[in-house]
Amino acid sequence: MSERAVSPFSPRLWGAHLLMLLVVAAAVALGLWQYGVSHQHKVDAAAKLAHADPRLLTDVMGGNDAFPGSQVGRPVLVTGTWEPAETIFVSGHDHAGESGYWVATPVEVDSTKSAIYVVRGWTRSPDAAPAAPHGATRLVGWLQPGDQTAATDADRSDDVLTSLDIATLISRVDGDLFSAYVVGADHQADWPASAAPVNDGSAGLADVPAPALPQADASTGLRNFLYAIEWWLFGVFALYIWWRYVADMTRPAPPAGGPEDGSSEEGTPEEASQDRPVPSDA
Amino acid sequence: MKGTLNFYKVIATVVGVLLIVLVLVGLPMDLFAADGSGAKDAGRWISRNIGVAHGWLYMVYLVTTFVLSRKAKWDMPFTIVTLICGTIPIASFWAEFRAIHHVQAEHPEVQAA
Repeated sequence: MSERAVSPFSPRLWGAHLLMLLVVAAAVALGLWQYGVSHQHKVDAAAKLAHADPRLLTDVMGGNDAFPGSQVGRPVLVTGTWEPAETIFVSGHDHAGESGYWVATPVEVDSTKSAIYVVRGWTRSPDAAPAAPHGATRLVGWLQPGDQTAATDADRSDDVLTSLDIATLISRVDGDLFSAYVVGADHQADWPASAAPVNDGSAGLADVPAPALPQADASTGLRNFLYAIEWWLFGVFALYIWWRYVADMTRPAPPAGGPEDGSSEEGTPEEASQDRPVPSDA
Repeated sequence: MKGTLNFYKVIATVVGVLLIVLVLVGLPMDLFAADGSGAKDAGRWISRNIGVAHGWLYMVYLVTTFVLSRKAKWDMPFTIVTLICGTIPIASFWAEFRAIHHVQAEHPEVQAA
């Protein structure tokens, strides 16, 4: 009565093989899909803020406020007066594969006593940069927290810095600084509708992409990511069941009469159990 | 086997109840309740949180059921039907009932479980 061992390639197992392939393929595909969704959520959330309608800088943060963490990358409208003498160059920034510098000039913001550094663009070298703008300005840029960097500035006497570290900049500038800087966004190709800029100081410089798009909320897309992992675990589980099944079917049956095997070898167990009256446990 | 069967009963019941809350309560509220209503918010909360919880507990259910199926020497169709019924609201309780009966009929020694 015991089943004979079956070859793993036996037609009797083709159905099991096919089912395993289908289930694993489905689990992998569904996992990839959920993973894609989780990623897209983050990108969407970030892009939403980066392309939100600009708000007046002073409505987002005051001159003495700490950086509002949820506003990284928010477009802000800056109106004020250029301080061309305080222009700096930030080294270590590439553009189209070429190393160079960001050019940043502070704007004293209207109705505050603080200035905010505005990254006007990128240049190959400080000497190649156009003269800094003068006078009143009105521009839109992405709000960024000050850089945190351990790199020290080799030469403190020149206008070249290694980062836009607000603490370092405060010691160079007369008056207060916002604890933030702004990356000029008026000329970005994917910028939908910026307020018409006035004297934004970007002429002659290459555009700078926003260095830090706002980080999407950590929970955004987490659910989908967990679903992705779940689907992949399902796939692994299906693989395991298939393997057990094939191993059982292909293993030579043990000699009949073993104490463990006795009960299950009469007909198919399922039928046997359903025909049998329920034992008296009621 | 007795311990596995008891654990199976617990996890199958929990998964079955969560599935009913999720599919027959949470999702309809999320989908059909008016925007901004309390029912909508509750439905959204249920479909998000219970959804994730059910997903992971279902994995536990799968593994438990499979372990039980090995110990009780179920055949493969019975095992697969029992596994799949964990995903169908209400049917999961039928599968649980059927599985417990099956085990007890085949293995009278766990009768008192």
